[in-house]
Amino acid sequence: MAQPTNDDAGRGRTGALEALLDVAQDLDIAGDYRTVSGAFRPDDYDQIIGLAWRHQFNDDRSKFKREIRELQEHVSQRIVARLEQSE
Amino acid sequence: MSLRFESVGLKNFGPYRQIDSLNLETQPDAPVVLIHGENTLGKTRLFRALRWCLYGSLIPQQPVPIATQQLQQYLNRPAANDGENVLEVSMRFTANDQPYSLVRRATFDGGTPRVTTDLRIGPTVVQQAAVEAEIGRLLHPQISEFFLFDGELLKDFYDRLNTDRERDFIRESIDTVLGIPALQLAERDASELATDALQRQTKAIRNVNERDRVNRQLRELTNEQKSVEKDRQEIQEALHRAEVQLREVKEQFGAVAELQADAREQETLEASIEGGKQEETRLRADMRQLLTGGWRAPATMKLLEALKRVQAQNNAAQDRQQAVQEARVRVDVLQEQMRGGNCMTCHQSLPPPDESTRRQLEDAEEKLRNLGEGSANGPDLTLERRINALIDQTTVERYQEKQEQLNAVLSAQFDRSRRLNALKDRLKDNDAAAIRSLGDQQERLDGVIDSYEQRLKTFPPRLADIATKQQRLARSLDRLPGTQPALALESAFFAYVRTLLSRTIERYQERTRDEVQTTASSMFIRLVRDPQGYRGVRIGRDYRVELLGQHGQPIETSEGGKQLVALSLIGALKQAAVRGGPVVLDSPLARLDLEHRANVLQTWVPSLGNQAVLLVQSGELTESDARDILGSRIGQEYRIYRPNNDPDEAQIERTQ
Repeated sequence: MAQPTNDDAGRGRTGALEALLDVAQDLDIAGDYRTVSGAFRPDDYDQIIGLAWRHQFNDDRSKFKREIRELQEHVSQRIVARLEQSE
Repeated sequence: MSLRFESVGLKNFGPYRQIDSLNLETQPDAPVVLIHGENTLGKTRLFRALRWCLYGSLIPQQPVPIATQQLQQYLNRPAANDGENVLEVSMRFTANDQPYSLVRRATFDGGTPRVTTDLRIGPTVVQQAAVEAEIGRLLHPQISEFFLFDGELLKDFYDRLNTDRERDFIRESIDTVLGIPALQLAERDASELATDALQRQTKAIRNVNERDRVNRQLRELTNEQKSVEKDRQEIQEALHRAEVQLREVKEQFGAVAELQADAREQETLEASIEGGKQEETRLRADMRQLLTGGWRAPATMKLLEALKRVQAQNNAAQDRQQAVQEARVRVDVLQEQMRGGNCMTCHQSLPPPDESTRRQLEDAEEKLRNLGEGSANGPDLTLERRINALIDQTTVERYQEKQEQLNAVLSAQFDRSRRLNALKDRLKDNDAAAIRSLGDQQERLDGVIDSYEQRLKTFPPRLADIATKQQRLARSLDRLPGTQPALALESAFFAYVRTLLSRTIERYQERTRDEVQTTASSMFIRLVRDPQGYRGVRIGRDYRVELLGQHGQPIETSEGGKQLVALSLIGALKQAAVRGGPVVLDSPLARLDLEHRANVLQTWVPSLGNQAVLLVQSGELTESDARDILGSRIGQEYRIYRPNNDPDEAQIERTQ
């Protein structure tokens, strides 16, 4: 049996990622969240959209939360590493 | 999206007893499939078969259970008469270079049919529960109107765009296909995770007073957020229930739509019959009154005879009086002449009397005596007046007049009753009151839905305000002793993600609207006969559509212009929702003039996607016109026909 992937590189996801990258470059937002946005890498944005798409039909949101928390831990580690470097 | 239809098969669907495999394959340089069919042959049934196979519904926005209930009328009659109880539509298509096979089958065992679906990607069977989601991922049902396009939609599409409901529907449809709900869910989860981090951070604050203060603020914000979310959810659920009810009512209403004219006529007739009854009662009362008051009418003849007699007597009496008078004057004149006197009238002297004067006097006196001067009675005018007063000459006439009126009323009542009975037979259970009640229900539900939708619009700003306050609180926490840097980072991360997603939704929606506007404008300019007169189409933030004149000013347009705007917008929405992919168009040209039909075929249809299936009748496009206009762009061409002149039976044959 095949399962729907909900993760195709379709029109919606591509457009959403483009819009997300646009927003991330917005100076106001980057300024408001300087520490976090500075530690983000391009594929982190891709991952956020990927997670949103992959779990869009899941009523159980715990999987999405768990996976985005993993991303958060990676980004937090990077922030800490950057802070340590700057010291 | 590289979806392309390859073939469709029908078994016992509408007039199609068995169409094994209608080849829909096209090539990039010949992307058009033309299916010709005169009205009532089965074009729309074929169109609905495709929709049913993909989504389980027969018309746009129709709930699947309602479609399932209606399937009985789609089961091929000759097949049903032969005892067959299975209706089936199968499709083969490719998407993202993978071969798909979809079969939807309804089995009639009495009552509501049992519907099963079988979707395979290559040899792999897709789980039953995941079939609809997989199809929705490829071609979402909410945008089906933009690629399974019914030409009838053109009729009032432009006018419908002036209603909030339709604009919201279009926006939501586009949002759904673009994946906005996915972003909204992710935003909500990020918001919850940010709040969770904030709560844990609050617990870590060393200063008890500070902790209590922050805790209180946070609790208030969280409670407010939960309360708003709960309200929103309740309203969304209520809205959903109202929408389901409205769909059901519309479905019932649609089923009796053709009977509505009958129902209106029934109501009018019932009112007329009631009025006729009152008229009949009034006329009968008048006639009774005439009979009661007209008792003298039978004596009229006798009285007329008596009157005639009295009038004759009176005339004779008058004549006699006249003769006596004249004789008296003659005697007086002759006597005066005998006396040598003057004329009593002109006072001139009369000629001297002679022997003849004497004889004349004697004759005149003799005549006066004969007339019986003294005993002559005058006319009895009093008697004549009394008899006249007794004669009733009007009652009979009035009675006859009333009788004629009554006959006319009774005749009209008979015709009305006969017509009413015929209507009642047609309407059967769908009496006018029931139809009116459906209309009332629809109106009420429309109002309820509008009110829910207005209330739902108030939630996003309230939630954004709460998020801002939480963010401010989170920042103030980071400076307090005891707070943990890791939690501060976690909180900041989720707040950042939440903000990103929230702004992304706005940006994405705005960008899509711009894109739809640009595409619709470009399509309209290519379609319209006099493009120099227009700048294009403007689509507002709420998807309000305006046609712009050459100086950019909003302008009114004709019915034809409205249809071109509608085509342009539908085309642009289709492109925004699904790039590439097929379109199936049922009678798309019927409402356009000849020049615009050619424009639509040459520019609009090819711009919609990589494959266009057109179901047309000769009134909108003949086979030879199609070849003249489209030429080698026709990939497949078919004709629907009735092999045995039986409306329950249709076949499809290839024409080239």
